[in-house]
Amino acid sequence: MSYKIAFISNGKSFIVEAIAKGLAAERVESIFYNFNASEVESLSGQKMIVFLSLDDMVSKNKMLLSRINEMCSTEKMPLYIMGYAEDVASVKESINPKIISGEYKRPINTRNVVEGLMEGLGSVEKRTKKKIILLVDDSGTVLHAFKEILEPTYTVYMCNSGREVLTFLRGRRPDLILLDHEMPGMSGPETLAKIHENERVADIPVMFLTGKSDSDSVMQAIGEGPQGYLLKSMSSDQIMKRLEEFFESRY
Amino acid sequence: MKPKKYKKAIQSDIGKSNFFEWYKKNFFIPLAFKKRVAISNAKAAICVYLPLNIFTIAMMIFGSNVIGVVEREIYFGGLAFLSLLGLVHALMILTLNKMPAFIRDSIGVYGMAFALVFSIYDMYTSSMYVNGLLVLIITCLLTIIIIRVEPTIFTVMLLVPAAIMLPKYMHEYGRDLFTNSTIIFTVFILLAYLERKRFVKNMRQERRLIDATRKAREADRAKSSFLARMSHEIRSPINAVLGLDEMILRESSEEPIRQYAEEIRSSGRTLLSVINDVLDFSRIESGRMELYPVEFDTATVLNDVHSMIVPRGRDKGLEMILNVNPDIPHILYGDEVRIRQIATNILTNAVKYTDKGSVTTNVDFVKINENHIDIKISVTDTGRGIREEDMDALVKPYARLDEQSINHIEGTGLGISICVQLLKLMDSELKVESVYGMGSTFSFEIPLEVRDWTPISEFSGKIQNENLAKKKHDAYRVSFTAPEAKLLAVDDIPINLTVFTNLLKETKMQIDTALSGNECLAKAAQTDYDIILLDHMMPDMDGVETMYRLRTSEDMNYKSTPIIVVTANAITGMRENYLREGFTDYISKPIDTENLEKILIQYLPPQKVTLCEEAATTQEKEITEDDYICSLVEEDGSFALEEAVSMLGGRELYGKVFKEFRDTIDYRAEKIEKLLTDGDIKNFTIEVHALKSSARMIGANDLSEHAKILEECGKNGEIEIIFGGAGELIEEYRGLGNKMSQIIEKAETEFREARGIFNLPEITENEIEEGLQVMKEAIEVFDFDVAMAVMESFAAHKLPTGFKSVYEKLKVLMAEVAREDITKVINDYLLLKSERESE
Repeated sequence: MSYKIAFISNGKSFIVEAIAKGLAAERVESIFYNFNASEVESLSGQKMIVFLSLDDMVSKNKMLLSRINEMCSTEKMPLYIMGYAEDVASVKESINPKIISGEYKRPINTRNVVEGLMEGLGSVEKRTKKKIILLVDDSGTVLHAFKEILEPTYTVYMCNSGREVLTFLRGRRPDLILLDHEMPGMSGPETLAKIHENERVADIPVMFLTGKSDSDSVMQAIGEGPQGYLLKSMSSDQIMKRLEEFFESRY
Repeated sequence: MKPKKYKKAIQSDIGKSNFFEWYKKNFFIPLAFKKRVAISNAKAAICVYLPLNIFTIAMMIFGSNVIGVVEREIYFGGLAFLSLLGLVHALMILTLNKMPAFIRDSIGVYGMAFALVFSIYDMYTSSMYVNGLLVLIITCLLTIIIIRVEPTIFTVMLLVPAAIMLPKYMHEYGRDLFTNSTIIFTVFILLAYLERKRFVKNMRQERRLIDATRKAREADRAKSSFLARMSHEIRSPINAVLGLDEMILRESSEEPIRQYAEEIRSSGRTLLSVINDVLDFSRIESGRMELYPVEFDTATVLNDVHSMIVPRGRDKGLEMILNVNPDIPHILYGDEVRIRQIATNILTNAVKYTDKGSVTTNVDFVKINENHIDIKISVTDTGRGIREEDMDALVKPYARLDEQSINHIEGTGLGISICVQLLKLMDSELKVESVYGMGSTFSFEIPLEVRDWTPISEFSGKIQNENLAKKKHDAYRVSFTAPEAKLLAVDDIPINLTVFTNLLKETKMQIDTALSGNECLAKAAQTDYDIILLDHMMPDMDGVETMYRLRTSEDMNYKSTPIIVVTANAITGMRENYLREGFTDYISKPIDTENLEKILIQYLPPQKVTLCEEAATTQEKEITEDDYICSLVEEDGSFALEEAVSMLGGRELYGKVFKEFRDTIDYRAEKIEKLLTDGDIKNFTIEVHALKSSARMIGANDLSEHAKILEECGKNGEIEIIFGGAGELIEEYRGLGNKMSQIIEKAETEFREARGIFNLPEITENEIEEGLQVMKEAIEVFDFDVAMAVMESFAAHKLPTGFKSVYEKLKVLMAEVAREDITKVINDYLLLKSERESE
């Protein structure tokens, strides 16, 4: 990667750090700058992508913003901005929308931002978008463990109840749902039924995650209509293999 | 020794492409003297007598002008008679093969003996009649002597005088040929009968030796091809077994499958070494073992050999000492492989038969001349020792000493005999000194040429007494990828191809396979391969022929493509042979992945190869708190760490899961208690079910089992048992929690101590607020990564007391992924904050 990313923010920012962390995983270097005149000047002459994190203070400093605008347009540095809607709007008064390569309104999903930046960097290998898997289990231990196993290969989201699944599905569409069979409140099969009720999301494939490996339970679980099942006792390799096979057969 | 003579005889017999040569060898009696077989052989007999016949008849017809008639009759009549006798002899051999050998072969001999006696006697007397009996007796005695000593010499000695005298006698005394012959025959048969045993024994021995030698030759040839075939037949399936086992180890992380596969691997390797010993031994026995000297680095060889055995010695609690004279020249010229083999065998033996004490290896040298040294290697152990009577048996193959007491020690017993034979080949010998019960010293000296006199001490750090064993690579890491490279693998056994393809899976190369030379050619014609691997032994078209066809084909362009031969014929020196044939290089079976990858990297076009970074060693990887947790858990021993780690796919995850489990214990234990007091068995069962799975994930198998039992009870409605047992479960659960907390705290302290982190920076209220806000937003869109990042950030600071409890609560909820609860807690805190601020 010939580009590095320069994060400009007003003081330390958790979000910026989280995004930088995500980029680090993709081997992209991030450098942090404070939003003040001297540090912004030091950006000049370097081949960077500028990521501006907005807040009240930043969006009010019109002078510095126009300096950034000038720098980015003359030196052809791509500029990304992130902040609340009103901050973004006000910043656009000082910065020419044309030179803005991307804008992110909060609340943001760091992964989206990271992906967007990676695309902006024009990575050489064509990266197929990672499949999105939604994990549903009442045990946090299981959720975290599975997330770690699946994470590098897939984009993983976690839910700890059936109810949350429905909330999640309102905002996002996963490629696969891994659903725990035994849950308090809304059980696995109940959740599945609810998913099937909703036309919009009924076609999302669902696999049961169960700790019961005896054939009766498995047969019963399958009978309830999921696309397949996984046993919690399976090794991580087996699980990854199953998922790989599943996705290959579908696409 | 007899066999050698016969070998030569047979060699000349069998090797006769030149008739004249053979004839010459068999006709010239002086030579026949060396070969007792000459006259027994019918063909030889004919060839001896036929010229006599021809000569005689010719002289009788045409020689009349040379000498007077009477003399002619005498001399040539005699010759004629003799040659007739010989012809009869030969005819009898030819046509009457079923006739007992002693008759057949004795005729000529007896006749000659008789004739000789007559002629000598006649020279001194003129009267045959009176002393006929005497003559007969003498003749018999003479015949006996002749038969015992050397039948063939006398053929010469008898021919001439007999030729002269016999007809004279017959002429003078008027007895006709027929009567004489009858007398001769009768007496001879009598004699021969008496002598038969001895004669037959000789003749039979002769024939047997001839046959034996012929068979030995054939067997010898059969053995060579047998050895070659066996090498292939044995090594190929082992290749498949070890290769597939390697695949299991790579692809499965399930216990006990991995355990089984590890056992297979170690047994397979032992098997391979036993087979190598046996094959080596056969090769030595059939005289086919040759030495292939190369230049080698003294220090490396000594180190490798010693450090390979050191772990075994250490495991037994033995002290492993290595003393090397630092002035030894560092590059020598000799058969490195065999020297290693000998040294390794001796060392292994020493360790095997020593249960306590030490094994000391001393390496020294003596300069012989400008270019040579005598290197002396001796291994002294404090083992059981060898009895004097057993010293001889020591070097006998297949035997192992003290059979009763060493039944528990494995081994074929071939090791030392192989060493002895190899040392013999090197003009040296194995010296053994021993005191039974105290220990033994095995040593040998071999003369070696020196290629570089620089002493090895110049290369300091090479010789160390410590264990230099290479780090055992538990995990396989591929050393390169070459997704654009095309490889064609050819082997007539499908499973070998499967193994091969799978071993190279990680390199992402495009691999095609072919089951025969023909298929290989067909595929090679269609695709341009970057590299071709050919099995050496294949039916129909073997590897060598296939390679020729590839190289010489006009339609395809494989003249300079790397073609590697895969062979079970793993002898050093073969490489040069293969290279001469036209191969680019060779790999021996069973295939070693590391070696294979090295060769591929060497010969693939470099632009298609991407080298992978070295697998991070544990020193390079940043050690995290989780690593401390793993090692502390290991120390504790009550967790089934390995099982859990394999389920999770790695140690890195274990630490995290461990912490998360701990965080949820209070919350969940409370929940279970509440469900019990409420009598909510259904949800109790669900909770306990969840506990069963999550306990397994950290290796708390006992807890998991108990949870399982209660789950079963819950399903079956056995309420009394539940109420009886649940209390215990919860106590165990909480107790586990305490233990885990201790471990985590200790890990944190150790981690911080290692890192030198003692003082945590402060954090402002505003920063906390911002962090919480970020968390809230992230959680809203299910982005737990950011939330986690914030929490980690909090953890790296000294938290104000007002926030600490909130932080702890959030920690628990984060582990639970209790999204709504987290949002609520954050909202409550922020609300409280703003209320306080507005005050």
